[in-house]
Amino acid sequence: MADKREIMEKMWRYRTNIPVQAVRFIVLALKFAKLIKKSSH
Amino acid sequence: MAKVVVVGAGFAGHYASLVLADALLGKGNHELTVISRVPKFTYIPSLVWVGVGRMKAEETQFELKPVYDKLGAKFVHGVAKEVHPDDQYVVVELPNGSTQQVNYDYLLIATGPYLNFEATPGLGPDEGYTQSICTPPHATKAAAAYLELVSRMEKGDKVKIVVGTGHGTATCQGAAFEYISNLHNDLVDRGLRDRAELLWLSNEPNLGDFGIDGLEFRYKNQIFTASEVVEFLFEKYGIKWQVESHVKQVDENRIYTININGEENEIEYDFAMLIPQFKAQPIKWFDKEGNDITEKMTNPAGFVKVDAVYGKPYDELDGPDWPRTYQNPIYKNIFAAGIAFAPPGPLSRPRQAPDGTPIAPAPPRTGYTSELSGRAAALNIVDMVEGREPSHSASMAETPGLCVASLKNDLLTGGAVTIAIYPVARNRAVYGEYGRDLDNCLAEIGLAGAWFKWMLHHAFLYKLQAKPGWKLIP
Ligand SMILES: Cc1cc2nc3c(=O)[nH]c(=O)nc-3n(C[C@H](O)[C@H](O)[C@H](O)COP(=O)(O)OP(=O)(O)OC[C@H]3O[C@@H](n4cnc5c(N)ncnc54)[C@H](O)[C@@H]3O)c2cc1C
Repeated sequence: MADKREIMEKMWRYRTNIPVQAVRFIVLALKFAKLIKKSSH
Repeated sequence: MAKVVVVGAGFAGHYASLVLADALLGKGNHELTVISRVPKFTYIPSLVWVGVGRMKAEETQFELKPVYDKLGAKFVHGVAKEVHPDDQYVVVELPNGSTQQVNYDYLLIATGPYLNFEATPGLGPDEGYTQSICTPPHATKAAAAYLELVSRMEKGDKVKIVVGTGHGTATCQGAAFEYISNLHNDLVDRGLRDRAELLWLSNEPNLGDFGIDGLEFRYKNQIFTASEVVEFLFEKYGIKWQVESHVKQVDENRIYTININGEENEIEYDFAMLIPQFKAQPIKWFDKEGNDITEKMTNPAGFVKVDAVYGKPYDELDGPDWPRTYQNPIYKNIFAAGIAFAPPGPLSRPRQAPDGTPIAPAPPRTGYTSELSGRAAALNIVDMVEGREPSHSASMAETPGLCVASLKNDLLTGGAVTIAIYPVARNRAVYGEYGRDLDNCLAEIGLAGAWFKWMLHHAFLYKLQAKPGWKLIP
């Protein structure tokens, strides 16, 4: 549990850090794109 | 030549209309008619920002008629009151009080929710004491009430703000979660946060349930839950919570609740935004003899039955029971999409207080799910018009939920929780223990989400006006 808390604290610390968020934006966009592909039947 | 009629022009109906227009109009003299109670499309997710006074309602809307004119579709501004499926027509009440009969060969019902404030005495901005952000006028009114509260706080008043659900079976917790987070951040920016106590009041079994039975995701070999993420966020924001609660009644000063253990509570408040129970829009169905067949066509809340497996107990309900084509089982030329279709059951476990009061979120059908079901229904209508069986599916047990929950709308200091769920409805037949693919689920707090949210607002408003290249936007 402590570990999880640490991970969330880290996410919190970097929540408005522009370079980190720019990378996260790309990672999340790729994830969304993959999932959107799964929904085209 | 086929006459296709779409009732409702929200996420499901309007998007379906674009898909239908694209596939059918200009080919074989087909006709498309869209009936909508309101002449404008509203990008509802941004009403959260309208409700804190950071955006005007007009910035979330556009006129529908010019879009349909451009596509060659007909537009009827009116309220569908009756459907006569044997004789294939819809009775529409026009704004001047007269009625019009609109004939169809294929019908798509996409009328979204009826906001059932009446289920909770004292709830709502029209007849009651609480605010809502579910429609543009409601969100505008909520902003005015909030800004009045702000001026009281600026004079030194300490206030209590309550946000959440206003009924034991309400849904749409995500919108309320966004609203309380945006209020928090707005008060921080105004330097007034220490003058407000913020309470999250909800029917969820625990934080982060969101009516989808929560969310688990794998990150760095650990399984996190949405409950942990929301609890973490609320601790950071200093937001208190009371979950597992039904609102029995509201008066000018107090909200009266009962929880899952039967404990009653009275919450004093200065400002409250509580989402009402959602029912279906009151449309009546008649057969050719004039008999009311509404009960046959809809579930008890009025949502239209489609190709789901209805009647199973919660523990037996699984992925394959969720609808795929959105076709009505009795009248094969009728489809229902978005919030208007009847789900086979809830996503969150049904529970009740000792006195029998149900306290469990109803299943949400979010914007993306509404669009996917609208598109599947539209493409299935195209299949039938062209002589094929419906071949398109968008089951909630096979499609993802993609949600960006705003915390604050600012491209430098804002934030959001970016949420992905795959699939939305747990599908244990395919994904075993959790019923979801945990490697394709996530919930992440950060500025990147605020960029997404901003982009989605502009991209959707662009795409849904059928501007050049709209088909390229997913
Ligand atoms: C404040 C708020 C924020 C939200 N944020 C998000 C978000 O961030 N992401 C997300 O995915 N979802 C979000 N949602 C949920 C999303 O808005 C809904 O899932 C979506 O609007 C449902 O689409 P729909 O087409 O079924 O219904 P609606 O969008 O409600 O559209 C129904 C349309 O039918 C019309 N209509 C109703 N009855 C009749 C009638 N009898 N005759 C003719 N027309 C009729 C209505 O006027 C309306 O235009 C949010 C909801 C709210 C309230």
